[in-house]
Amino acid sequence: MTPPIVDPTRRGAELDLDAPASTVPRQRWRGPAIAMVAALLVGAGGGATLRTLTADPPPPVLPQVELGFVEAHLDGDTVATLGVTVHNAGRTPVTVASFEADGVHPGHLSQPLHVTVPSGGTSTMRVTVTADCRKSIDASPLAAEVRMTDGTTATAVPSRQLASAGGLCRQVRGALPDGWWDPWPGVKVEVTEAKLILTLPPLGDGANLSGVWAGKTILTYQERPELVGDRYPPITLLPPDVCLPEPRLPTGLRILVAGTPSGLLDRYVVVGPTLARWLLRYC
Amino acid sequence: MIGDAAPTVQVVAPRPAPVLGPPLPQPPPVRERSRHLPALAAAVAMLVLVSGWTAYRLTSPPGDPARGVVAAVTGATSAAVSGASTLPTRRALLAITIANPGTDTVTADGYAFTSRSSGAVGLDQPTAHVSPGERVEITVDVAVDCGRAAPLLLPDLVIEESDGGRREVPAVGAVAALMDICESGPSPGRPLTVVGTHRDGDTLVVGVAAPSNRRTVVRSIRATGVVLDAGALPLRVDRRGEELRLTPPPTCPRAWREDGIPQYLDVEIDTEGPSISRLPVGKPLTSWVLDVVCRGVA
Repeated sequence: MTPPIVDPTRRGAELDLDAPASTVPRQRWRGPAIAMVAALLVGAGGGATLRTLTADPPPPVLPQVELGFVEAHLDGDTVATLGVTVHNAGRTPVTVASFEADGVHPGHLSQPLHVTVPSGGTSTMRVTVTADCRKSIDASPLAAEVRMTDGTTATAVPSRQLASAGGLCRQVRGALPDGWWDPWPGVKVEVTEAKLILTLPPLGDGANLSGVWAGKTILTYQERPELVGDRYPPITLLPPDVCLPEPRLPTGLRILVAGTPSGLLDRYVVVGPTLARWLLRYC
Repeated sequence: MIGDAAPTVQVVAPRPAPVLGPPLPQPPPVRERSRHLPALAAAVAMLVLVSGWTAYRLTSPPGDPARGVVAAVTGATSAAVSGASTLPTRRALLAITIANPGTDTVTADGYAFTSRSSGAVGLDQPTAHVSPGERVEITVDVAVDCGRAAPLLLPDLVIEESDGGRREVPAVGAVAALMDICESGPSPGRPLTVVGTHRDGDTLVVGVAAPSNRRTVVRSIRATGVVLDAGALPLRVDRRGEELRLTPPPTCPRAWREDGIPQYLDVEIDTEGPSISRLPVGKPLTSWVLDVVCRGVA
């Protein structure tokens, strides 16, 4: 048998006299093997291409939402203002349809907003809610989200102040004048020149006046009030000798009554702008 | 083993190399090849289908494991830098809550690179693992130079997804938190300051300025929850100052009658992000409210 001859000019070429001369079996399967590999590649490529062409677009980026406490005030009821900050990291503007929350007051809160946040932009929306904080500290946790016009929702992450159970009511109580939860309608207040004259209704057996505050400042009596029976004669109060350094000039008085069957009572009397004028006169 | 013929080396240049030896094997007869052809075609077709289906299933587009991940500044505490209580430089600890509403764990892995100038410097690197459906609060240490004209920004957080993907997520509310920190410091670093007030008929004119010369846009003004008409807004304010012309509301608002007469203005501003600046106006504001807005109200 003649051994195979290769090109000896090729580097490393050598003559293998032991090599079999015939390669018939390998050549016989070469065609089918190539066909199989080609089928594998064509099939895989086709499948991947088909998947790419028929794939749905990726879901849009959800806006990021933060919920914070802004302020609270008395307005016939206890009104709190919340700030909803929405950041839109997507490529298209999003429109916030509504603000949804549980834990603000009994039942579900839904407030329409209809504010559009541009791509890459951040907007803050003010949500004014009536917070039900009169009875006691409301311990229900606050859960809030915003709903977009396309139906998607994004959870609002509450600030640390609001996140704990009863956090909203704690903020509301901190922002409102002390005693607001127990208004005292029978109190009469008159301003004459430099003096403020306070007439209290009967206090009941054993009860007595502990002090009168305007905001965080205790007011001084012109004369120490003495009980006559279960009521005080009109009490004359003197204005503070400094301007009250508070965010709001008080329009109501906080009256502390001790010795009642319920213990110490913290009550609030709405006086109106007259009280603020009296306080401002000496600033 | 050497064959019956002596080996012959024949050099042919350049190519092809001549091959000497026995005659090449003849291809099988046509009838034998055609007998295997249907089976071969069926196998190839089956292979195309199977490999195509497998590729279709395996190459599904990547999902979005970090979809809905939120990072928000939920708290801040600050103090003056030691020995510099009169300088507008503050040191703050920011609490950042990372919420993961998704179904895979994500990891916060430091800050993203940014080329934007910021008054917030000296940041440390936050790290946290957030399981699905959980919220994790991390604390970062920030030094804030409130007197710089650059906006007060926090770099985006890098969120690493479970499939290895990385995403940059901004900390929502960072601007407002940093502005609050500056507002509690000395006057040169405050976002807005009152530079003067006067009356123009029933209108209260409040002069405001941004001492840092930071780009500041006034969006709206409120006092104890009541929106005030301040003329043409938005209004851009810089170091030289601008005037806010407050026209009185038609009636004395109930909030002011029951809860108190405002001494501060809550000014909603935008400095590369929304925030609220509390402007202490004091007696000029309360006098205006009592003399003009609540005139004749007991």
